[in-house]
Amino acid sequence: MSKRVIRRIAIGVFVLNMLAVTWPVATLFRSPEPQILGLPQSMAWPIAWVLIGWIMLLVLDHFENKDPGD
Amino acid sequence: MESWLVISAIIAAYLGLTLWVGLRAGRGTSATVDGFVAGDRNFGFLVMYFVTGATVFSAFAFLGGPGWAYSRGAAAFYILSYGVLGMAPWYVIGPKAARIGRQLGQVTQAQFLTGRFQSRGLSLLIALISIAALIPYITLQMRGAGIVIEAVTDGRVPLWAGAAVAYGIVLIYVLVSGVSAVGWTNTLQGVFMIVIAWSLGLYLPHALYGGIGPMFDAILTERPELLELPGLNATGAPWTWAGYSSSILISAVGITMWPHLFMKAFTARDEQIIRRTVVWFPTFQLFLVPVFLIGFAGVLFVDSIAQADFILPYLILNVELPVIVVGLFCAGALSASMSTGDALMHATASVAVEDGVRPFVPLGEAQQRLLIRTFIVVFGAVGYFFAVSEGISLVVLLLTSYGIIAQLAPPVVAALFWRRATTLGAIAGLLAGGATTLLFFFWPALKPIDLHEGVFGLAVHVLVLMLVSLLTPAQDRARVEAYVNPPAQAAPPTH
Repeated sequence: MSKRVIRRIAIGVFVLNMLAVTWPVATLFRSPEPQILGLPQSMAWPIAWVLIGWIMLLVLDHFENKDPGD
Repeated sequence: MESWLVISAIIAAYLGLTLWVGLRAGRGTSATVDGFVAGDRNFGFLVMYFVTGATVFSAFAFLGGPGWAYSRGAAAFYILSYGVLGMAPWYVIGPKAARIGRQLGQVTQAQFLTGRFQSRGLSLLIALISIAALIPYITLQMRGAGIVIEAVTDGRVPLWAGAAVAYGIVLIYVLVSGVSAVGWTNTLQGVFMIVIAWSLGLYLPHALYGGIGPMFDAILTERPELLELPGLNATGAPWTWAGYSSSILISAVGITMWPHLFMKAFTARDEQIIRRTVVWFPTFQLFLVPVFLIGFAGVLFVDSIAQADFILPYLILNVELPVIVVGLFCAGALSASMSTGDALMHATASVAVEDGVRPFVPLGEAQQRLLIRTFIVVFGAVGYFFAVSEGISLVVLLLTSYGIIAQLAPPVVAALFWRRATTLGAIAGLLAGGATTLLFFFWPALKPIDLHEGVFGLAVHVLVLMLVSLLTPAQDRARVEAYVNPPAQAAPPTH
């Protein structure tokens, strides 16, 4: 996959992240139930996005380093 | 031995270790402004990772985080939501700013901006905004250190003395070693913060409720409103979605614009180190999970407490914990306070001299370093004065300063990516955005909707920046290209 595509995907993921943790999308996950791994859903949702953001950054960095001159 | 003596001994050992690391840190650094302010642009990945993480997470997060979870419940999750969002653009902006800074010999944010938008007035304006925003932040850190020491020694070491000792040590190592001390002590303090937060965050729910799941089950039964987004506001009424969402937005925009963080771009050895720091920042962000667990542990255990920010020391002192754990908690809280406080004091003084004085008064290298050291003492003293004075609402000041600091984002983005941006546009945008933020802060009834005042400021700022830029002559092409399309970085020297 080209760097250009990965960069676009990364921008898309962080835009999704912004939408997911703010109104109105976050209202879908406002409830504490169900609990996920013992945590209320309302807390697990932003944690999940920290993890998604981390994975995206790892993937982006991997592709950026494959051929730094590109 | 009495427990407060054991705790004091642990604190003394921790402070001694920090001082030792801080003093040793500056040994390899040159006696230049570049060395004192930007560490000779030689920070490696480990130091940059901890500088970024430990600087972001201050006494405000270590004490305020549990306080928010305890008193405002799910509202605290906004702090969890903005960190990665705010740091991700730094993957692109940080290395580019570092490259330009290296090429043009810049060590501060205002130097970076005025390299593109040449104006001594703009430099002074940024210096004043930065200092006004940083001093309440310094004060909060000092107060946090004093509060913790006073609480765990049962009042035997009062707030003024605790803050004086902790920040006396910060002063010594920052004066001697400059930003290198900030880097290496933050590495030590970052490790302390993470280990202690995770240990307490997992231990307290188990000790008080039998586990994390049972703790949330119990809260859900007794106080279900606490766990539903967007949580509660400061008065205990439900917070609005507009308030919650705009706090995420403004904090994400503002996080890397704080001068003490932005300036660290100029300390990295190469651009790849900045990128890796961003990539691994989320692991530091997860530090908030145990911090919130500590706050939630207090919900059903502590009926009411005068100030929610005291929930962590209160729990520590009222749960039967081994005295050594109490001492280590104290070291963790001091780490959080000092690791941010040192960077703040160093940045405030550097900004005051480099951006407030030097554009107007020619100074030699030695004079600059002397003046920066003098200002470190002066701003430390001002922060300390406010820290030991009662009745000043610093948290309010700090929250407002986030709205002001976020106003530095549009000119930074415009400098790097918009060829048509002009100096007049940048100045007009900054003035209009700052004024709008202050207007809605002082007269919140004028807000059309309940958004953070900084969001209105940003909207006006961007509009004015674009309009005035388009109405004024375009900038010299060479200057624009040096920012929008800087030449590739030369390979770092091999040692």
